Amino acid sequence: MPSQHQKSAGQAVIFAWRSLNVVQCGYCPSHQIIAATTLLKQHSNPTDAQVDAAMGAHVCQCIPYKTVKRTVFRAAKLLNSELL
Amino acid sequence: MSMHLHNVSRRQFLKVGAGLTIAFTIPGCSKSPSEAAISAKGQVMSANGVTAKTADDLVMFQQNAFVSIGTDNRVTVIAKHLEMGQGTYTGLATLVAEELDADWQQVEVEAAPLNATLYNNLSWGPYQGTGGSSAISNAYQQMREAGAAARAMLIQAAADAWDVPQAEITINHGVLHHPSGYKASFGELAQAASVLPIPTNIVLKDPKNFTLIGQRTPRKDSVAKTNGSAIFTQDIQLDDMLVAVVMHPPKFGAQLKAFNDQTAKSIKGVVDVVQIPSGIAVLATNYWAAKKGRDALSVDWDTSAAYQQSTSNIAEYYKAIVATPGMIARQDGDALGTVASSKKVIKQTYVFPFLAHAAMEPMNCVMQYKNNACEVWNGSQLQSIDQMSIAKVLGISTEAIKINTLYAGGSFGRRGNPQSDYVVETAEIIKALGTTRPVKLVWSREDDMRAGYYRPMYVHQLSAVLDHQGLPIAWHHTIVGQSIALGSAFEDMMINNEVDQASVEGAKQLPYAIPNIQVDLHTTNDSVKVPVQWWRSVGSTHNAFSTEAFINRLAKTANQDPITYRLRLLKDHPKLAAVLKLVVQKAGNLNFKDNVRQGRGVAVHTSFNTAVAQFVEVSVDETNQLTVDRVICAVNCGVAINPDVVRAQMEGSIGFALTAALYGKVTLQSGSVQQNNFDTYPMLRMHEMPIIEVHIMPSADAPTGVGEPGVPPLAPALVNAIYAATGKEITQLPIGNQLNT
Repeated sequence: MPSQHQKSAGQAVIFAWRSLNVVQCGYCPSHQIIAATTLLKQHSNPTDAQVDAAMGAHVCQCIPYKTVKRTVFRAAKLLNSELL
Repeated sequence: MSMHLHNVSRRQFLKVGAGLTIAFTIPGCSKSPSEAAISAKGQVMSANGVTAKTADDLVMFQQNAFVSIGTDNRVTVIAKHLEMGQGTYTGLATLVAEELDADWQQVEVEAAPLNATLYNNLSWGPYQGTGGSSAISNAYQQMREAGAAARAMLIQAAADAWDVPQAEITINHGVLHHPSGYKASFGELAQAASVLPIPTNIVLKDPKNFTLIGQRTPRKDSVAKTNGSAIFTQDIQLDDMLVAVVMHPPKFGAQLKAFNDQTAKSIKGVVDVVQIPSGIAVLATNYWAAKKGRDALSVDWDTSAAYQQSTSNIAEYYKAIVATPGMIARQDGDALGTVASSKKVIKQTYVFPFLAHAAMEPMNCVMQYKNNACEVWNGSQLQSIDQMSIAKVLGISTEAIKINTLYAGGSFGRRGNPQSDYVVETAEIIKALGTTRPVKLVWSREDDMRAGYYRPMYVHQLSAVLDHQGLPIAWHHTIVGQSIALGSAFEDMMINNEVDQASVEGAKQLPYAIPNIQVDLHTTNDSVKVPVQWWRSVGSTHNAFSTEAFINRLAKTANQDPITYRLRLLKDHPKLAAVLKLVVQKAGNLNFKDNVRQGRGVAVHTSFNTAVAQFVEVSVDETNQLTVDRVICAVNCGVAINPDVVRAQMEGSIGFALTAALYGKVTLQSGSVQQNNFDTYPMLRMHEMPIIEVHIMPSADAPTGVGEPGVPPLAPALVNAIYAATGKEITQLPIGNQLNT
């Protein structure tokens, strides 16, 4: 059975995505959000290298990679603080 | 000139605004721009199975061409510029909402319909379109005036209703207040406000009273782009729609000799195969069938008249002619004479590749031609050019064309094709097929990468002479490459005395104080037949590189610090000097790393009236593996409408420019493009991204460009850093594996 944590990973990622104004052209957030959610379901406190590995497969030409990374960490923090 | 155009447009908006009080339930208002926008959106929504707006929402009052306020309290800003990621919807809405004193949450944005009279780009004259990092700068005054006019009408409506002086009414977050206790929302006053005359004296806010401009407000496209509801061209599904894929010739200019479509037509879902000027189109009920149909075509091409050269040949040809001066773009003093009479001339040649835009959404377009009217769904960047191009193909008047401008999944210039190439291709398919069914042209990644319209290849040669203090007294810069504007609708606007101003931009405006300067250009369109196009930051993509790498070379030759050297020569450009000083200050001391060679480099460049400096730190290990550790960027773009958007554009530009500097090249082998997809045209990945710090110079000046100016300084700052680390001078892009050779 999925835990509360797992259920809300997607919410946390989307919340963080919006609060950090990550989107640019908006063509790739769907796969980036899914990848970030999958990562957080597996590792609630991912390391820098785990984020690179999980998100590094996703190409983007607007290249907000640094902000995406901050977003993943913020989502992890949100999940762990049970603010959601 | 821009002032004049601005005034024309202002009159237009007042005239239109004065005549418009529109309830959408009343028939016969179909020519109003707002209804056109609404119906465009309605169609898109229904096309995706989303329920159209409910009847309750349909009473909306258009205060003017750019803002309408509904009785539901929603403020809709009509965006005349394409949102392709650069944040223009947010920026335009901020300008309106600021002067309107709206609450940010009540503001929505929708794309303007095709109407160049109302929605032209004020920096381009009578054309509707987005480009040259001009959206916010051209619309700054216009959008603020639109918001202020609507605000004045709401205040008057409230004053009339409450029988109080207008001056006693304030607006805070979309609510009008009077000290006596009266208050009303925009929605409550929308109907009464809409019958009032447009005010003639519009007073804009003093920038010190801004409450939204300069704030990190949420992007207006953020929710739709994170819940899947944002509509791109690729999302459009219309009833009875055909999907088209096109087989393009294997080399530019190859002609179709013969083809056999028997097998293709036997594939389930394939409806027809037609020949068009740009190739052979396979039409099917879905993309997969169309693609399989194309794979099954048997085609015989005549390549005898095609362009057959390799990029290596082009480079040799360009290197041969770069040694002679071209058509003069700038001439101060006598640079050639000074160089010719000097015993010690410093000289360098730089080589730049063709580059693809590689937007994440490959080119696509949906079009329907029915009852002598043509409707288009497209992330259209140059609506006026697309309109004229379609009219020409279909032989119809421009008035018979409607364009629904959708979100674009990136562009970097590509969707603003000066020939409207992929839009024309869609119209040609419809014409060849003679169909009234909607047609959706879909390019695969490979189609997109191989169909041309690249950033042109260039070769530059720079020569300089230094005085006894080591400062340059002569600078001669020759540029060789294709013109983008030649033969396009932009020819008259951009070509001056046979010099395409885009080819020399950033070189012609060299900011350094040098008494003898010549910048000249060889245009090679007669001999090189590769389709070319502007690519994010256009001429500055190569001109910033050669000028900033060469000035570094001069500083080194003079045995001087490259930063001090630049500052001495930037005495007439305080904005550039200030951003340079800022990145140096923010860079601080180098963090030493073990077992690597470290280096730091800078570059400064002004493009689209925005001054940017970048400071790059690299390390190179014993296997010559390059790591870009840190990029510090300072930008002066006037007032930053939304600092988050400015930062995102700088960060994105740095990543975009870094991708190109490290990897970007499109090469031809005997006329055939060698790249297909991201395996052969690599994109930067997350782990390769350096630390990036962006510093925005505080400014109350009118805004200047943001979407492109972050690109030009990165590559030269990077190679200057590599030189500092290794002593290796990179003069050819991309960097690739040059550190190992």
